[in-house]
Amino acid sequence: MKTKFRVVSLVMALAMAVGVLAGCSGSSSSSGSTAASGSTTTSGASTAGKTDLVIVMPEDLETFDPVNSSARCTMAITRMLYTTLYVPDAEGQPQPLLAESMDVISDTELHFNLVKGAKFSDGSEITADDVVASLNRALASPNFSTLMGAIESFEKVDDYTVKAVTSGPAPSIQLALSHNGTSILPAEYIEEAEASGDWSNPICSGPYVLDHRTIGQEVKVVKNEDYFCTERAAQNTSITFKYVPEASSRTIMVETGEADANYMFAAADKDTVAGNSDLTLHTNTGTVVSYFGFDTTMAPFDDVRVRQAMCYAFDREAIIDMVCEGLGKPSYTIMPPSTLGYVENAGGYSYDPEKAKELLAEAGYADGFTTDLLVFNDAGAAAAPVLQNYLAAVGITANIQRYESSVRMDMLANHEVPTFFGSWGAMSDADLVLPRLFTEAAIGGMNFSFWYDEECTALLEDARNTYDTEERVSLYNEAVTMIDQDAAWAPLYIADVFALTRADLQGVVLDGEGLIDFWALHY
Amino acid sequence: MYKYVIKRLLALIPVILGVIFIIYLILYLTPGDAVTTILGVNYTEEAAERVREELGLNQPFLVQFGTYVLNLCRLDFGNSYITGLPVIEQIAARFPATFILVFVSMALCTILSLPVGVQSAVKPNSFFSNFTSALSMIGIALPTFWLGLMLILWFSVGLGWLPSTGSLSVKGLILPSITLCASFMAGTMRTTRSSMLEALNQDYIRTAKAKGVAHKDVINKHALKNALLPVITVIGMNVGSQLGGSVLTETVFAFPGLGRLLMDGINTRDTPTVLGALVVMALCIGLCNLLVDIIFAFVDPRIKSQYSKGR
Amino acid sequence: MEETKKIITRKEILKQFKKKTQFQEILTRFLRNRLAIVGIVMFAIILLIAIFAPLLADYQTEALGMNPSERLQGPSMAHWFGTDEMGRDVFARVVHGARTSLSIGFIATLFSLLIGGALGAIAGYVGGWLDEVIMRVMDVMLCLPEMLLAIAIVAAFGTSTTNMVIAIGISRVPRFARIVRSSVLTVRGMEYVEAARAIGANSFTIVTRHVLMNCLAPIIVQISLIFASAILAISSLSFLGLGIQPPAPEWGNMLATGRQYMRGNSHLVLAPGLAIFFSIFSLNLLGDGLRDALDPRLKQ
Repeated sequence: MKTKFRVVSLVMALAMAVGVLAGCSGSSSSSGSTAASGSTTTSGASTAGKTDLVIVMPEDLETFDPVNSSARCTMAITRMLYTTLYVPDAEGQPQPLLAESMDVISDTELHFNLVKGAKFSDGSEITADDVVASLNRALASPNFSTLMGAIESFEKVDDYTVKAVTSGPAPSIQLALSHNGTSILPAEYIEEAEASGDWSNPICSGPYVLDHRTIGQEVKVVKNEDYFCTERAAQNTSITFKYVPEASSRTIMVETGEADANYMFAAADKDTVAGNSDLTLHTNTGTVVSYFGFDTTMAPFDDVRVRQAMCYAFDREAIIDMVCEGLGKPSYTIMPPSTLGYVENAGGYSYDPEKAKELLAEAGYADGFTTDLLVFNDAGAAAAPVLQNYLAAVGITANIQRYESSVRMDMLANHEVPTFFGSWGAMSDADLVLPRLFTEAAIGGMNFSFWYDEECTALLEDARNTYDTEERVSLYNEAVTMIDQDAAWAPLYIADVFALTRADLQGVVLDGEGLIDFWALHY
Repeated sequence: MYKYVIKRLLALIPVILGVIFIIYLILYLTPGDAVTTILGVNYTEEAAERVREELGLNQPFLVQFGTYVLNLCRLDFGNSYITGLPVIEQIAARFPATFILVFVSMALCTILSLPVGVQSAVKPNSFFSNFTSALSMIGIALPTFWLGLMLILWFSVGLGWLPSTGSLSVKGLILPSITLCASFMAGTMRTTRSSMLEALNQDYIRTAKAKGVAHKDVINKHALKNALLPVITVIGMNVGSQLGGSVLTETVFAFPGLGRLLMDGINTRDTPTVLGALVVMALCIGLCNLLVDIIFAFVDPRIKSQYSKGR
Repeated sequence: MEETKKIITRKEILKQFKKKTQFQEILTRFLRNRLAIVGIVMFAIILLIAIFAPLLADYQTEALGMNPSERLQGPSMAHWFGTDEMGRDVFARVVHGARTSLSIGFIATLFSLLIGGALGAIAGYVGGWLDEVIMRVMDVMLCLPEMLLAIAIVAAFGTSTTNMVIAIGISRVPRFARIVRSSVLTVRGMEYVEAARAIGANSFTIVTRHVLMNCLAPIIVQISLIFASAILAISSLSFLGLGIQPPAPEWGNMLATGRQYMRGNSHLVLAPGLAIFFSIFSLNLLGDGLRDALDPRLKQ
């Protein structure tokens, strides 16, 4: 009798719990968007005069040192803090910023005329000394030396003129000098910071200055009142970049009004935000090539047949369906179509697992092999099991290893993992892409596949030394063909880029990598 | 009384040292070279040697451990391999969040489960008693992270009442603390119930009832006061498990606490951070045990009398 | 004629008065506890599902093989629990996840039982400084939450199934060590052991025999509870990305990936979540029932 009572109450309690939980899921699928929009009307009203914005990001800032990171989220933040000589627009073309104009003195000498009266956040003026120190530092770093291949050194002419000494014509120099890595910092500060290794209190010169940073949490920047470029002055008073690693949490935060924009929106949430009038999903064609990368110095990927097999092993269309909700284009080459010198499919690759198996068998891996696959962000984590499946279909067992992006460079550079899921946001000039990825000089920098070839490097050198676009294109075509045929990467797809924002947020601009120009955001 | 407190404090030291030793030993055995994590790529053998020298990595294990403990006494947890900043700064930034989360969750757990436990002891075999004990069993079996996800689905996404990410605000603490305390309510409730039942069976309760003391007073003054000791022990023990559970809760709610710091440290192979986070958690647990002991001394007349006589 | 009748009667009388064996008594008590019955039936079903998983769904094609054209479908006759973001059958993955969780949980429990039991027995039997050392280490380990200790071990040695078994097993060693030690100490002081020793029996065999009999009850109870906590730990670690790695189906990592899609596809988090819930719930009911049946004094 007594125990019967216990069973009855247990069943009731269970029914209640299941009811509650089922309620959770039921409301989420059917009334989710309406309920969310109902709730956000209140927060929507409060956004009217809102000037302190919150942007959610999937990765934490790696460092404030501009030459030591090329992670997208880090660059997005540091771009708001520092100034560069040029700045890329939404099409990826360089526009003058700190450099008012450039004079071509000769084939080996270029002069940059600096804006007068530009100031750092410590009040000192930005002079040629600072520019020379910053650019020479970038030139010396393995990450960026290849970005400015034709340049031999930077020298001061006078306080507002900087001379670049080059080995020949430098057709891509303005674009190169728009890259974050060439950010300008005070010469003295560079010396101090290099000595102490402490970059945590940056002296800023961009539309914002650093307010505070809490590692693993957020970076808050406030408007730089003394910013020299008034047309790019911040239209909000502060931005807090919050680190939220989980993609759906980021979406929910924008929905609930906790955040104003989601820097990297996961396509998986597309349907859930579709009917919500409080939100706008901005989209653009991407320029970021996602690829299956491998260390070409490590067996078995030192064998070209194995690498080519990888190019045949993946069904790119299906991967796009599963990883990007079908929003993207397959890529059979290392660059996006928007980059000068693009060749669509020089290797003649397709989805052909039989061919992949043949090539593997030829290379002596008829029974496959086991390898490790490194992923370091949630996009990679989503793609990895799919890649794993295709690899398994040709007999390769890949074990996924997940690490944060800040250690991935070390792991790859130290040959700790043979394969990885990578993505590369290519600039619009091949000179800023190919030498950074596929030359010997880029090893220790961005060349994580350790692939290089004398002949290919020579082609890239030649292309750099002419202003003739037609000639450059044909040289780059040749180089790309070489790289693709030797399968330095197994390119997979170019996903469309998204930025989810509150519907009434103004000034949203996207380039091929995502949201840019945060300074323009305002309500 | 002071003697008792000091005695407990002294007894705590070897235990805490032992905990730190175990954690240190485990992380010492980590394969991989700290030098690569610090210097990254393209470093020379001399630079590597210098870093090993600086960090004392070429010393024998016990010397390293000793140095670490000595540095701990000066609140020096070493520097992060990744950021190069002192670990103590990161811990100081994260600790309050976790402390408040665990505190709120403990308070919630106590406030909810104590009256329920008492009530179900006063009326055992009632529907209320059975129903709540069944609910508590469900609470134990619900995985923390799953409950967190479900709460986000319902309250943040569905109803839009509460934020989906945790933060140090009243609203931001509600979901994480409910998630964290769900699995601990059962234990507290059960202990309250059983020690209340035991207390209610004692002779002095019968005496009190016979004397004509009001039913409410019998429960609250006589029985509850005596039944509280085991409950305090359970609550104190829960602190440790809650800190363990906070790793999951903080991950689900992107809550900026020690648990996230620990996970970030693991994912970036930042051994000093991992070590620091674990050591701080262990210290908290140790201090909490001490606190329970001290409360015991105040509540339990047996300990009180033993030490007030000067023995 | 008269004689035989009498004997039968006596037998019957004896039978009537004969005490039930201990086992029968426990069984009766256990069977009278309906919650325990619910628990054991529930657990038996889960266990059978785990054992016969390959018959219910094929591992390679259904649990691992992706199917882009059928992704993110709700529950249907073809896919009872729907499909996930790669078009894999969620039912197949939950079922094979049961296999993973139960087998690893069982091995981890066994591991901690063997190590904990051995340490407890040595501590209790040898005594002296060895006892002191072992038990202090156990005390220290008890000060560290099991979850944190497991995370530390996996973080240090990397994510693999073996490391996870070790991590979960080691963190639960103190519980077994304490139980075994205390029953060794109890048994050692018993009169019958001293008597047995006096008549020349090997004291080691006596103690092991009696200790086994003595601590079997609490150990069985602990096994069911630790088994439950091991299953929870496996899915927690996997959820954090420190446990079973994809593509292997495991409830925790299914939740971690399903979380991304949970809003339009709640089946992705409901199915594995309920699977974890019911396995832990049934083991807890079973454990409570066993405790009540084995030690009626503990029953409230």
